[in-house]
Order: sequence, then structure tokens, then C-alpha cells
Amino acid sequence: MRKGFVFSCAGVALLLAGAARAEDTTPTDPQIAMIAVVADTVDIDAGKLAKDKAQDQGVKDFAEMMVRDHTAVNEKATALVKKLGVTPEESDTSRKLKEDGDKKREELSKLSGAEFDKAYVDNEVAYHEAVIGVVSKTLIPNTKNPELKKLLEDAAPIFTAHLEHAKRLQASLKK
Amino acid sequence: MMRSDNIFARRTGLVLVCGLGLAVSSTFFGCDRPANSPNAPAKVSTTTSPATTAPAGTVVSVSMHGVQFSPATVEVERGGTVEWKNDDMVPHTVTAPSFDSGSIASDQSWRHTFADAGTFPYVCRFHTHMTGTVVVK
Repeated sequence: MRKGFVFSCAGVALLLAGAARAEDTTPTDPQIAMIAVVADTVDIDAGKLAKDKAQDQGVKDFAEMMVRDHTAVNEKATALVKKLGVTPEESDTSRKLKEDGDKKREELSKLSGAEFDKAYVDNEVAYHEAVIGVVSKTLIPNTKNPELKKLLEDAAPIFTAHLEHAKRLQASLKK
Repeated sequence: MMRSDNIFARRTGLVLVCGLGLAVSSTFFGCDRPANSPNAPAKVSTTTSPATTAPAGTVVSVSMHGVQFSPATVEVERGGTVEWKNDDMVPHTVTAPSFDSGSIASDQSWRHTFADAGTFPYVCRFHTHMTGTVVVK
């Protein structure tokens, strides 16, 4: 009896602690929608810069693909949230993503030639690795709406294909 | 870039902590579901086992999904048609020296009829590691 009471108290404490944290950190669907759109937009903007600045044709082609694919994903995401009546909502994560993206683009804009190509591709590898991690480990498991969840699940292999392409480019630039 | 990595790592870590707190929540179990992993093995590849040859006049379907052609190899008889349907969110192309679809948007299809026998490898011009083959008997 006493043992059971202790267990249930511990359980409630754990649940409350979890719930309090969950309120602060678990993204809601409107926040997830905003994170997805901002993550796409950051890469579209970097791609637009690289289309103009890249020296290597392979890097230029990759940048064009980034703009084309992430624009297409954003169009789908925007159409879906409109259909669902969801208003994307800012969060610390989306604000941080945008801030970091702006800062990185500013850094890249100061470079040129082969130095720019390398820095852009290195960033694309790291960025896609980070985005794939957050999409698969945080966004998809926390998304409540099945259509939004499916959109993220469909986007994941596209981002993985981009990462593989960026890694091949990274290796070719080292030769 | 490390800053972005850090925020993702921090967020993920916090979510995992929450998952432990809410041990019975679907959030926790969802984190490790292999189906959610973008690194999960690719769908069944048909590269080594092409479909049975479709008779002339029929249409063989190929889906473009997950940045792959599926099935990757199809067989048709002379005069047969292949239809590619883009089931991805992003545009693709079906491009070979003798045919080119141009950009196929999401949810759109493109057909090509093969008059001559031969093996026709093709790629998506936008994603050059996305490849397929049409074998015309």
C-alpha cells in the first residue's frame, strides 16, 4: 500500500515535470509549420546567393536545385496550412533558424571564387544534416495533424537526397 | 553553422527529456520509430528484376517518389507506352538522349511511346543520381 503510494507520487511528479517542460519545448503544429517554412526559406535564400556567386558549374546546378526544390516544398506546405486553417506561429527555434541563416548568408556573401564554393557546400552539408535530424526526431514525432505529418515524411527523403548530393560535391571540390 | 547544429541538438535533447517524463506519450515512442527515419533503406529496388514485358498498346506506370524512379527498370514491347507520374513534392524530369519530358511538376504525369527496340537509360536532369531504364523488346 505504502509502496504503491510512493510510486504513484513519483509518477505524478515525473509527469508534471515532463508536462511543464513539454509546454516550453514541444512544438505545436502551428510552430512546426513555421519551422518547416523558415528552414526551407533559409536554404532558398542561400541558394539564390550561390546561383550568382558560385564558380563551379556543379555548385551552381546544386544551388539551382535547392531553390527549385525548397520552393516547391514551401508551396506545398503553404497550401496545406491554408487548407487546414493553421496559422504558422513563430517559436524560439524558428527565430534562431532565421537569425543563423541570415548570419551565415552574410558570411558567405563576403567570400568569392573557390573559397565561396567550398564554404557554401560545407554549409549545405551541415545544414541538411541538422534539418534532417530535427525533422525526423522532433517535428515528425510531435506533429498531431496527419496531413502535416505526411508532408514532413514526404519531404524527408528529398532532404536526404540533397544531403547526399552535397556530400558528393564536397568530395569533388577537395580533388 | 555550428550554432544551428547546437539549437537542433538542444531541442532534440529537451524533447527526449520530455519523452522520458511522459513515458507513456506517443511523443517518446515516436522518436525512435524507424519509419520516420530519412535514412531508412530505400524502397524495394527493381533494378535487377524488371517487370514482365507489357504488350504493345498497354501503358506501364513508373512512379517518381522519394527522389527515385519506381520501378527503376520497366520492359515494354515495341509500340508500348510508359507513363511517369510525379508523386514527389518537387519537380522531376525524364531525360535520355532520344527523349526529354521537360519539368514534370508534382502530381503531373508524362508519357512516351517507344517505337524501336533497345535499352533506354534515363535520368532526372534535376537530380542526376535518380536513374531508370526502359527496355523495349
